[in-house]
Amino acid sequence: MAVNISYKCPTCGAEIFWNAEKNCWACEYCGDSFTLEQLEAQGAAKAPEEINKDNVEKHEEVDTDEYKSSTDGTVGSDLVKYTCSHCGAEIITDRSTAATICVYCGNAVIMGEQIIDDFSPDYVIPFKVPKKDVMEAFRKFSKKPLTPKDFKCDQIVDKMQGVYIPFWLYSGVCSGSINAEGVNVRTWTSGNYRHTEKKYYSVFRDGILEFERVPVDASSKTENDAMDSIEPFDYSELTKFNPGYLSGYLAERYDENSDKCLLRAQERIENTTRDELKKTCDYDTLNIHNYTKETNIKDVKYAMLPTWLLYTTYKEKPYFFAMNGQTGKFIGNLPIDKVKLAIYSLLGCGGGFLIGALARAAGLF
Amino acid sequence: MIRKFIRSLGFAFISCSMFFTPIIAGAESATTGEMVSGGFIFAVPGGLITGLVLVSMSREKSKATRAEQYMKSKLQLKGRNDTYLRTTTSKTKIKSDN
Repeated sequence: MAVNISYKCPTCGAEIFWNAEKNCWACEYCGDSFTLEQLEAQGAAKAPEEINKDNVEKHEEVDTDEYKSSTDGTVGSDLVKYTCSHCGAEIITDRSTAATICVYCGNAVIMGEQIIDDFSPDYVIPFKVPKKDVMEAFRKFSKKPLTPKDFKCDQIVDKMQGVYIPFWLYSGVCSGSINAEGVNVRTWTSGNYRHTEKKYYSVFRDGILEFERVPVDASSKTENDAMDSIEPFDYSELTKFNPGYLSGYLAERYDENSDKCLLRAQERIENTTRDELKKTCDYDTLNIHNYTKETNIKDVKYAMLPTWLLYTTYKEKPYFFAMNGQTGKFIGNLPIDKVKLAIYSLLGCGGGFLIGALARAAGLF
Repeated sequence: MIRKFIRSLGFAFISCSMFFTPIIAGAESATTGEMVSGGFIFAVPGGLITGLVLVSMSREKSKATRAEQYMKSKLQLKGRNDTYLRTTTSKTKIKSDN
């Protein structure tokens, strides 16, 4: 018998969702709200241990000729079929979807098989930014000098989704050493001449740097640059994973394993170690000849982190924006009004001309 | 509110006076040709910098290449060595001899 991973209000029995504003589960019908402890105490929440491969609903393969796109708005072409446990409707979604919302009855659907065994997340950061604040934040974000006047946030958003994105969190140690040439420069003026003295040093540094929870997104469907840009997340709110946090949101499970994503974390760790070694060298210029490093990853955790994703179309060109669902940080590339760019650049030219003319007149160059 | 506005205005006035007075004083001795040529040198970089700064304000998506926020502790230096190699000197003429 398949277990329904749904959360019912202990007061009225209606579906309850995670409420980002109240930071707890809330019932839209009776208005009651509950913490995880309260839900567990009343038997209304499934503990992750209760969900296993024998009692979760399995997906069905779909006929690719019949279904060309998902019904729940998830991105991806590898489609599978689930049945909504509330209304019995077919949900066509991407194979790596871990939670969605039934388009027919609006209830939360959590795919148990995507959050168990190897796919079971260690942590989750619950949503803190409610949906109603996202559009206002987008409006503020889009107010840039070069944004076209007709880029109306309310009209151009095709899709806005609260999505838990899978992340690998790498902890480990990087030991690195640099061989470099350091130069200290001293200049002074004597008579009609300016003298320059350069002192060269051979520099060696060797050190160890410890890192904790370097995040790398583990979904091939999200842009890596976008997920990098919405960092940082506040890890003090990292909570032990419970499927209930996914209710009311979309969620992806990882489709890139921790070995594949390690290279991205390693690059960041090693670059930072080199920078920290450089900081210990007190020279005017430093040319690194050789940098040797070794990263030892000691721990990898799997976490679901909250994001709001906005898909828009402006002048037939798609644009993608993302917001950190915890801190509210917004990122994305806005369209640029070329006429505005030309006008501002000309103004810059004028300003530069004025400064140059005045500086020349004052004999500064 | 008004006091803050008057204070800002005062600062702006003093800053402008300090910056422009010597320039305007110098300008009286420069020829128009010199000023125009000086202006053209700065015009193109001025336009380019303005354009680039404004475009970068609309572009807020970039690959993360560092992990300094995730450092658990400070760098533990295991070895350091600085060896002096050589000194070079050079001189450039900045004023004519006469």
